Amino acid sequence: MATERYIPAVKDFDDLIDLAKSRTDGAPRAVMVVPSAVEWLKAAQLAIDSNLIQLEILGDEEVFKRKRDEAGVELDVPVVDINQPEQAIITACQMAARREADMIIKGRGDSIEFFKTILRKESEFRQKGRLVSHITVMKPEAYPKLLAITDSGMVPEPDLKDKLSITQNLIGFLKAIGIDEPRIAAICAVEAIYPQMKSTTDGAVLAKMSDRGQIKGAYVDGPLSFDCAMDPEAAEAKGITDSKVAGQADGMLASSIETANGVYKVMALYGNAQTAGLLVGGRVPVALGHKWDDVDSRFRSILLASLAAQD
Amino acid sequence: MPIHSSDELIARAIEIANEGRKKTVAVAAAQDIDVIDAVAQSQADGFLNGILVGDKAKIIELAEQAQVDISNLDIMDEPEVPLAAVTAVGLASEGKADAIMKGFLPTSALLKTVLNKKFNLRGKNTLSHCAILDIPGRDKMLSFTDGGMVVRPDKETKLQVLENAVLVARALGLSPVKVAISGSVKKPTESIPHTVSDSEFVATNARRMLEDIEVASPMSIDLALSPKAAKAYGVDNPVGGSADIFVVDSIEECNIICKSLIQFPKAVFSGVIVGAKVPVSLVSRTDTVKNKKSSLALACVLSDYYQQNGIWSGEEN
Repeated sequence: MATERYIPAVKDFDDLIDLAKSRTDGAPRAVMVVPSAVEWLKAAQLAIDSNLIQLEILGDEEVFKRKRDEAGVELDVPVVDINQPEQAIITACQMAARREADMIIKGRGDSIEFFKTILRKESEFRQKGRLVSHITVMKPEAYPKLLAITDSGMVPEPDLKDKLSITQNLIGFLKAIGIDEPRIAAICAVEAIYPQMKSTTDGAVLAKMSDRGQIKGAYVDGPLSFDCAMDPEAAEAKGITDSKVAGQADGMLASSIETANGVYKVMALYGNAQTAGLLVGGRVPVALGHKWDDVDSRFRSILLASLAAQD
Repeated sequence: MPIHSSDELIARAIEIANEGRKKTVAVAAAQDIDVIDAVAQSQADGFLNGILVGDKAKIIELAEQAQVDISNLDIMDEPEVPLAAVTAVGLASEGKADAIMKGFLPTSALLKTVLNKKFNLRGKNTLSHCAILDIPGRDKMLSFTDGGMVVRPDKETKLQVLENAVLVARALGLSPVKVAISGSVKKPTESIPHTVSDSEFVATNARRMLEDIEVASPMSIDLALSPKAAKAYGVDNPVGGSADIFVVDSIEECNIICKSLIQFPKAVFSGVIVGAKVPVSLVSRTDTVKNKKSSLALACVLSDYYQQNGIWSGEEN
């Protein structure tokens, strides 16, 4: 039988709520661009009620009031009246750069357009030497702990250097949400290393960098297939017995957006998994959602950003 | 009748056998207990006859150890692995077997034999793998391709992979065949180059070359799979929420998404290698009995479609 899985103290979203509530340094200051989906307003109200955030709204005040009525929430928060949604996004980022905001809630807009706007120079969102990356966190019903996957929306096809930054962002984030010794799998289609499959050689390099202490604060192993990363029996069947990651991944590094994004979406739709997503590596974390996300899922995204904000 | 689940797939294979067209599957290097078990169980279900080509003594020993009844299976003794592959492929080439199954040898070694011109089993397209998933909560199956063979298709290869998958979909009786080409953006985007060539070359040529298909490009997996997601994004395309085929850009994407669906919602998986004149079946150690049986059923149903419709007739190479 395979060794016991590493189970961190924080193993599901309820534990994350408890962790957030145990903080003594006050709720982070969140800014949200007036959203098009009322689900964001309901999620923000829940987050305020749980003392996860303090909130300020950026955008058209009239639209906000109408949406608030539509959502049927109190949301008695300050509003900075900005007519242009794009300008509101830039202002949110600039507030973060001036340390007037600790996190951003995406609120409105097409993701691609939103990402383009925050990465514009004038937004001052990027940090020198760091890559902004997209992390999705899932709690599949049949897995005993949380599972994060990256990059699920920001870096289309990361090269090795990008992967290193993305991995470091992931490690920092997992530690911020209370996973002290994260196990990170560079996931591929196979466990063997094939020179013609770049994802496998990248995975092997990252694993070796981890062995040698060049990547700190986590165990990284790869290449590992999805089942070997998640299922100790599958790992054993494939003869992977000396890995600190196989069968017990807390995080996964994928080689393409389509992979990471695809996994989290099928898990949300068919895998009975709770999901949430955020951007890390910028000035502040950004809570994300997409059009079919329900209120709970958006709330979880705010929760993650709130925890990452105070790291 | 279109086939929308793995149960329907197995039922269809049994129906074909009952109509007097039971398929024969030749196993190359059959000294592998998972393979022996899959063939024995499928034969007991009545939808195929197995010919185990391989190390006879080893096959009998493995079956005895695992208490698998192989008394109804033909065994051809050929202890040498490369020769077992040649013999199994030769059976298919001579029409004595309708499908080939991989046993205890590397996939690449078997496929190299299949592609050897002397067997006349090559088609015009590259060989590719289709993983057909029956996902709990969805009312039809989705064929993911390619998560097993083509590492990173260029646009010409991707078109062939798509065409191969359409052939399988037709064997399942699907009409029109709805194809989504994977991309995580709404429209072709320069920063993700494959989304541009997918739309301009692959989708355009597929629509031109193939009848009775709908193609969406780019489309993300959630919009391809789920009517709920497609509706939320206002997808105005017949493929949205209703795709039969999902063509991916890398082997990882396909393999990893499929495995996540197999691991958690317990999707039933049927896999086949397409592009040759006979289907090539392979199962892995970690497959459940159901997965193995439905993979073999898929090979039988596909083979029957080829034969009934003369798909490869007149094609020499």
